Amino acid sequence: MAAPSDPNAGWLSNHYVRVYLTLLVLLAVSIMGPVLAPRLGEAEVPVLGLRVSTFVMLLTAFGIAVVKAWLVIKHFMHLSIERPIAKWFLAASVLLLALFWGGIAPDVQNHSGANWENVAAQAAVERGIPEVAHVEEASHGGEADHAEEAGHDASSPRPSEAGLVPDAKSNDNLLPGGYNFTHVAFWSVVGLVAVGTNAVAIMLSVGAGMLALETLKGLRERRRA
Amino acid sequence: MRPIATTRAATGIATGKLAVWWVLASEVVIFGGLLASYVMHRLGHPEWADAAVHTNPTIGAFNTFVLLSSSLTAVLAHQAAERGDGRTAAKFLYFTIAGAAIFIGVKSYEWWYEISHGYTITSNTFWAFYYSAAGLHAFHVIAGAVIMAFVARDAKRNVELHRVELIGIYWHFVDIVWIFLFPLLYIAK
Repeated sequence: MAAPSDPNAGWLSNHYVRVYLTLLVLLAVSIMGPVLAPRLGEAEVPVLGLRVSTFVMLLTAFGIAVVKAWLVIKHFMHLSIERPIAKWFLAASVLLLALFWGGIAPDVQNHSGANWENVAAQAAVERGIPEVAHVEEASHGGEADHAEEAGHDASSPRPSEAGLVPDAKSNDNLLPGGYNFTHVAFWSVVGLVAVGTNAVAIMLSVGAGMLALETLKGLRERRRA
Repeated sequence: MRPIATTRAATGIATGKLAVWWVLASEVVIFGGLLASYVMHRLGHPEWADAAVHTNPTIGAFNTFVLLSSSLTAVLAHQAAERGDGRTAAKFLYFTIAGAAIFIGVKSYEWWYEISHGYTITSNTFWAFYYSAAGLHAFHVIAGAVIMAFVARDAKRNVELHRVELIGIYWHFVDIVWIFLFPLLYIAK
């Protein structure tokens, strides 16, 4: 798709540079939002039931991410002036993702439901909360502040020393069936399976798609003939 | 005889670009599935907040700036290619590759620091997701930079200029993935 071009235009009059500057402003807002949000108090946002600070943090972090992504898709990728088939490809993927979310989320975000209970996940949460309290207590009691506020702090204790990294046994059976979610072997297998199945799916899809296009093209040419 | 990628267009779209959109559609599922899984688990495990505070938002923000800037140079390369100015297109593609190199360099330092402080892929599930998502993204950055080097080499000789747009579309997608990774891993504490 043709990109608007004007070789004589100055930098700031270039459409893409203006979009880029907008993206940088949005980036600054997304960084400042979570910093300033806690100062907004504990009042609740009507209807949503969220604290104002949480709402502003979510809005500046994720709302702005959506706007930034939209700007890149529209102005840099030129999807808005692309042929419909490209939009259908992406829409199909997003729909598949939505179905994935709808089917999986209720069982992952909750740790119990009708006739089932994820005891290991519940235990992980219970184990983790005291660790959080322990670290917060240590942080309030001493001079140490959270590492995130000033970037990494070399003097902060290692996670293993602070109790942040549970021992290997505490991670066992996090998922029903005995899968160890934090073991590198688990992720290796997941990665290989994901890459393998996707590669096969892509090859098959491309092949099937090309075959269909060629067939349609052939039919069209026969009709014309 | 023109190159096949610019002539076969039964759907009204050039074959090369059709393939790029097809790849991106599958990438949406790959990255989307990973990030959706992360969000689901994050919502179900409030204790992850403790691990999340140890990521460095300054580094994340700098890398976001680098990728946004590299997206600008990628689209400016496309603009130059549309004018038939292959040398300028190549120059902008080299800037984009430099952006990728800076991104990977900063990411390497960040990972080295975190790993040396005990935050590894096996530390807990948050860090497992963190390294998986950022690692998969970094792999895409490296792959994109390598392909871009080949495209830039041809563009410099005014050959296959249509490929400048194709690698650009891929590069903007890599940028978009990071736009979502940044708040997920660095901002939402």
